[in-house]
Amino acid sequence: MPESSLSIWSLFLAACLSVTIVLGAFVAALVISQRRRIAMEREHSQRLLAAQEEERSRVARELHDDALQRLAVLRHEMEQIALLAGPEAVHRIQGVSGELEDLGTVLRTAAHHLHPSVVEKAGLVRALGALAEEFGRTAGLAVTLDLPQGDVKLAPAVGIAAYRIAQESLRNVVRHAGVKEAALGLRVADGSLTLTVSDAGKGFAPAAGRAGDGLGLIAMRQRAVTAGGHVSVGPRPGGGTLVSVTLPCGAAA
Amino acid sequence: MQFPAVATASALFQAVPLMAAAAARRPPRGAMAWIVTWCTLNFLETAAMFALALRNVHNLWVPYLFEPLEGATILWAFSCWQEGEVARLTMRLAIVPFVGVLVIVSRFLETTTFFSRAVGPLTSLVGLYAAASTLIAKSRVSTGDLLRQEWLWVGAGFAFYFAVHAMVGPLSALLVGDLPLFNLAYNLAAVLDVAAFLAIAWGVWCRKAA
Repeated sequence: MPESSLSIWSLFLAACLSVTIVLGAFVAALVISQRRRIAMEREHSQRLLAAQEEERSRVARELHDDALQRLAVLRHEMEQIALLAGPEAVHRIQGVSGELEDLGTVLRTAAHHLHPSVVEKAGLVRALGALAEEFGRTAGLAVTLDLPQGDVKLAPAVGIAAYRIAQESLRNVVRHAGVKEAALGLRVADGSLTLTVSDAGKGFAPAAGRAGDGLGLIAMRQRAVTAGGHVSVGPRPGGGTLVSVTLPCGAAA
Repeated sequence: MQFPAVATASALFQAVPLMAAAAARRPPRGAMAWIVTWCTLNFLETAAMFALALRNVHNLWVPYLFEPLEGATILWAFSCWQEGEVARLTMRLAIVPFVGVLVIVSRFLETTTFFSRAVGPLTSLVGLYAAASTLIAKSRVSTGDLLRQEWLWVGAGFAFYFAVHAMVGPLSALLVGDLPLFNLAYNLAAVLDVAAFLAIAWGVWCRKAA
């Protein structure tokens, strides 16, 4: 090949190689940068959720250890006053005492909702059983349970995430499904847990639901992703809605 | 052996950025430290080529030794000036394939007894990309007086230098049979080099005022 052609071809080759190197590095940089951003967002969400749970736990403790104790003291004082009062006053004092008892129940329930300490104390399986009972008692929802025998070993954050997602899913059944029955299942296999909540109600259109996701669904997805898993919300075969969450069990505390 | 005066001047002017760095009496940091490293490597390369030429020893193999080092250094230097993570990562990630490709091309396509046809242009084109993209990216976010920005002078100097050097290797190979034209091309490149090194030196010196 003549020298002039060789020089031109070499220059062309150099140009092609330099463009290839820069473009290749650019694509790699884009991928790495996106992965870093996702990891940072996940870490940020984890911190946010942890801070939220911590704050809720603090408020729940305040309610339990301070407000509820004061209510108990007030009721005791009212009972003592009733011993010294006349019949009409006793009647009114009993009314006030009853109100205080109701207030105590409301505060206890609020404290429990703020921080489900039962997950940490009794484990996820028993906490889900208690949750189903609570929905039956307060919302008239009959929840069929399909839970493992005995407790499962989970990282505390995973247990809380699963419990919160189950809670939000059952709340959605009560609000939107228009049925009085639901099923709650939990399976643990190969280091990951799968939680399912299903109902035979009005159903759920995934596309429409995704476009207008409420805060509850967004929070469910965020909790699942933050715990390293994923959640799917869609139609149940045979009608109704099926929420399925898969989370890695993580290192048990 | 006699060297053309302009070539000698060009070689000497390569030391001006180093003198500016020394005169600034402040150790260069970040990108500027790498710029000074590049200037040192470039000056050593030229000094080695002059020394060999003075002894009438073949010296065209010297750039093949320095180009990968200089290319990697300049990519790292300009990466330090990038505002965005993607742009910074692009330059840093490009270093390994760039050096790898240089080694392969040097081994299989070039002959070290002749002017570089591909290695020189490749290094210059990659350096030109780094300098030009830095100028564009920094000028979009810069709020101060542009003429007092070190990156402007250094970036412009390098863009100029690499634009000339992308062509000088293949052009030398083309004109090797026509000595007057060959000398003219080299002298012109040497003059342009002087301008480029003055701009780089001013950029290095600018830090003192900043």
